[in-house]
Amino acid sequence: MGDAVIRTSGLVMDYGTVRALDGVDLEVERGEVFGFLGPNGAGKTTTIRILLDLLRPNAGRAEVFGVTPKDGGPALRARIGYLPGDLTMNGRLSARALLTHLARVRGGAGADRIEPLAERFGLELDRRFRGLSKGNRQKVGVVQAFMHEPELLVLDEPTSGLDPLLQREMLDLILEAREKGATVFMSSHVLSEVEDVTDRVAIIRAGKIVDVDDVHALRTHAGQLVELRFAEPVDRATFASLPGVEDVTVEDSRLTCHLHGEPDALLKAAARYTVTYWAAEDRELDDLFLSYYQMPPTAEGEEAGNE
Amino acid sequence: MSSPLAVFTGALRENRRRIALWFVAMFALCAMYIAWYPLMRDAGTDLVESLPSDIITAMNWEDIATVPGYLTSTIFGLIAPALGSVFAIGLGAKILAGEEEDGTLELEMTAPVSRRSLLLQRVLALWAGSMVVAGAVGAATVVMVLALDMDISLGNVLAGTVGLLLLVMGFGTVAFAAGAITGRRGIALGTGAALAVISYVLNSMGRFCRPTGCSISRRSRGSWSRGRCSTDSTCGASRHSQDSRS
Repeated sequence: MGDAVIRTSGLVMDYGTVRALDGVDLEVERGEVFGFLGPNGAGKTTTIRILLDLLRPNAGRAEVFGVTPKDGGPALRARIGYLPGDLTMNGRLSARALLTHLARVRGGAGADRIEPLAERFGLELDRRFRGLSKGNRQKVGVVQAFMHEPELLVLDEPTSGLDPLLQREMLDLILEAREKGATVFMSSHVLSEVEDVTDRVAIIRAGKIVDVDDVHALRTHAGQLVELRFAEPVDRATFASLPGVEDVTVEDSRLTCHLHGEPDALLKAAARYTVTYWAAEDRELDDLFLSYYQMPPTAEGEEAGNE
Repeated sequence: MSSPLAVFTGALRENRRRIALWFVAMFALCAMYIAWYPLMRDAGTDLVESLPSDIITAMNWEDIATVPGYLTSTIFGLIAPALGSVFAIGLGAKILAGEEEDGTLELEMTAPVSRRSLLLQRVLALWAGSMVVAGAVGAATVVMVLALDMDISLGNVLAGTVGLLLLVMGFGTVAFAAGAITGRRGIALGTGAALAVISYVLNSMGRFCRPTGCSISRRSRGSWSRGRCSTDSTCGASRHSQDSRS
């Protein structure tokens, strides 16, 4: 693969006796919006902190723009915008003072974008950081991550703490950045918050990547939830064996099932009865996502490379 | 990439309140102490005579009735190094390890500043803060010396101030370094404070060691900061008395 912006192989990170990362392999292509999903404590933030050289892995290798975060140093960090998951700043200073300072530390890059970005997100720049609500603090983080128009955005839970309207604004900002050619690596523990903008997602669980897929494939995989009502009670066995149909439940004349792939066989079987109601909705990807959480640790897969 | 000294000025801005309060407090306290000198000049000789000589030696009060002796015993030998060290050790522990523990260092760490430069600029901010606080002592002394028309040269006051600055900067930098190595504010504070207390004790006890020829006192940082002579216009006399005792 030629143009990977982020590439990690076999990242292992231990905190004392706790293994936070257990061989993480990732590859993020230039120009894509990559979702990094998993429950809290799965290793998302640890991975992100390694990419920014805030942590150094116990084993394995991480590369950003083809260099390790350590070797890349300041020149590499100049190309990255980072939104921490848990943003803390000096509470006595105003948002404006904090952002101006960060722009200065970046050699002035982005100073002129503080005003417009703050206005867009409705951030009052002259309030002290300490007096800001969680959502407003998150906005300070968003402004500082985007203001210098970096080539790579690393966003740790960017939508958390924002109300739905601002989540939308945030996602628009991400899409605009991608249109300008930026690559976005964003973590979340709620898939539905990010599925509209991500091209591909990796799902991490207990320090291991359990799946990497594009969002459309995930959605197809998730299938649809179908509900049918008939004029008379129907026999479950008629439907249970149909191709692509799973989890059939029948209560008298009401049938629900999960449908994967083409609906043809189900429709033809239903047509033998009088259908009084029909509903099919895309399954929430979160449902699918949840099933990963509950999955027992897989024995197959990337054990190689770990001690 | 990064504007030169952006981290330095940022660190000073973050701590400007603390530094300003310390400046005011140190200035006021030193001025107040010096204002009592006329009382001490009159009562000092009696006081010295009424106390056991070992205490006088330990507290370095032998010359308390003279201007240089008084300034050394109270300001430059006691209050300023003690409080100045509290300030510098506190700031030294906070300005790197403390910020790291609080998470407020994170965005600077991910900015295009090398870690080396970040470290240097933050230690520079510590030194600048120390200069302000040591400067408060020097300024208060000069003001009071002029106001009370006290018999000491300003050069000696300056020398004492520089000695004080180097002392507190030294302790602060030790705390800073301990914090840089461990990343823990508590360890930074403890290391700096332990060093300061040990030097004070060695300095006080060292005064008893002269007859045997061991010169702990001369080697301890506290003694060195005052240079034995800096605020002491009767330097020759005191050295003479030192010599006659050894």
